[in-house]
Amino acid sequence: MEYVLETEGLCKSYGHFRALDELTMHVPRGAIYGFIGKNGAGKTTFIRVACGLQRPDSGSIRLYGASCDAGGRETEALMRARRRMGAIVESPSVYLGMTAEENLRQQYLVLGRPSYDGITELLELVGLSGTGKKRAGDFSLGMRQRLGIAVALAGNPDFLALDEPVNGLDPQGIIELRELMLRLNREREITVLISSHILDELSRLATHYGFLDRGRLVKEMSADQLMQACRKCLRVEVTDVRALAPVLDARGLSYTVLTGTEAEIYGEIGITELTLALAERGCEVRSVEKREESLESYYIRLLGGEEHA
Amino acid sequence: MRNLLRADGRRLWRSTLYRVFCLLTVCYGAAACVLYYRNSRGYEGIGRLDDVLFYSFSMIGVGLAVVLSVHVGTEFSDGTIRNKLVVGRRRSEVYLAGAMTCLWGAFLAAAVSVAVNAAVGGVLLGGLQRGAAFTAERAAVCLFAAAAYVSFFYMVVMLSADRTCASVCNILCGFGVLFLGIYLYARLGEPAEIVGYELTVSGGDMLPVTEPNPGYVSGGKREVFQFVLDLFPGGQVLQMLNCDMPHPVRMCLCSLAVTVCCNAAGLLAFGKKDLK
Repeated sequence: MEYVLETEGLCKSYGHFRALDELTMHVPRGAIYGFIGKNGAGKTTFIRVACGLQRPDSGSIRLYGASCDAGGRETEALMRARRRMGAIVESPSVYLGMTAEENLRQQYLVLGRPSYDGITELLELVGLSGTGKKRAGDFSLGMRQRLGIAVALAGNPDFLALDEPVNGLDPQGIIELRELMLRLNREREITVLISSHILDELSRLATHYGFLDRGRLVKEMSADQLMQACRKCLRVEVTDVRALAPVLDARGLSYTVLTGTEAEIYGEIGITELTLALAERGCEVRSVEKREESLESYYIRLLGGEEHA
Repeated sequence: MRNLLRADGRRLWRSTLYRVFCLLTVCYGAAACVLYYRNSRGYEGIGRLDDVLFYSFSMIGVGLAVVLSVHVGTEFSDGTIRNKLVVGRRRSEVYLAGAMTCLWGAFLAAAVSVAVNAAVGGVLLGGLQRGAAFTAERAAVCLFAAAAYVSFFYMVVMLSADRTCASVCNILCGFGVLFLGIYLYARLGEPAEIVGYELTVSGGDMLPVTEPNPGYVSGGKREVFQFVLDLFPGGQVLQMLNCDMPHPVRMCLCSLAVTVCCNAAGLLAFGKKDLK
């Protein structure tokens, strides 16, 4: 598989706090890579390091095959590879005193593009074509976020790194941003690294996931692998859950007791078999519902429910 | 680098703050010419263009402190400095392009204000009386002092990355350097002897008596005071404004040293700095 971004044993500390701890990850080309972790897990630090805003203490980073030299200094090849990248780190980086168009013109100059061609199309792409002389400082957060993405797209990047892009957006803004991400990925084949702790949103976008905890990548998997790993379960409501437990134990099934009358059963069991076995113990089945584990519950199972609940 | 220079130059040129700064500098200098002309009317030998030609430089330190802190600090407060680094621009390029743009901006503002002073002062006060060579010396001192100011203020902003903090620090430094210059210049201007008057016994007449001035700075201390005055741009500008520059070359070299040291230190520290 071809990777856009790879890291190996990446470490970064702030004083005694270890923000990244031997982080090894792989972002495949063409993927929407969801980078998941709670606040302080190291998501933003990783993106800063990937963007060259901060230097790692140790470990290596490889962008489009280009990496740092032996002394950890950025090579010319890595700097060139960065020109194929766009990013939003924490908040959209736009001049608040300028209009959307002026912001893009400014970025075009930084990039050394020969003309201002394409600015109108970029503004249309992110839905800011009608903003005219309105300054970015007067934009809503969603509009600023979209302008930030337009600035990040100014260099026609193949790889976009977005740090918590949906933070602070209203539901409409979240939907628009999601659609934009999907369009960029499908129509322009842009690889997207997107960090978030809004798991429901990520699950609608991502084709690959990386689970981060205390600066370490706990698990890296594709959306298909996640689907397979997510346990399917039956949620049953019975008259007395105390009668259910021995029936399930006898069949070697794992389960979670939710309340005195509700439980989730993982694994395969016939409903007739279960109903008959419970009837022998004087317990009645009230309802049965088939469920699949969500990204959220998988995340909690993976990283420890008590701590993250 | 050229792209960054173009981008930074465009932003500075379109900056309202910078334009206001240029306008204020020009108005301040022109107003000084008019006031000086009004006050010197009727006094023979007073009222030369030389006295007001560089008058706008008297407050240039504080002005540059405000403009640079806000203008450059915006890169950090709006986070736009990230846009340059993310797309593969080297930190040294980003730093140097910003520093050069600020220098260019300071020189342009200074040049415009001197040109306006020359025009207004020339009409009201006539031509220069101290000769072109002396004026060129003063202009050189001004430019080097402005470069030293810019380099220091720019370094502070780029390394603090907090616009408010950098602004406060730079404005305090701007005033500090100015007041230090005023104090040292005043102390060095103390006469070696002071003239007192003594009442004679015979006729009750007052006779002048000279005695050593206790406030006079002499010996090694005087050398140190003069060196510090020559070292900092505040002292240099003060001496230049009073057409009293005993060591113009040393002043230029000091400013050059400050400029080189600030930029070298800034480049080194910015290269290692963790940006957010």
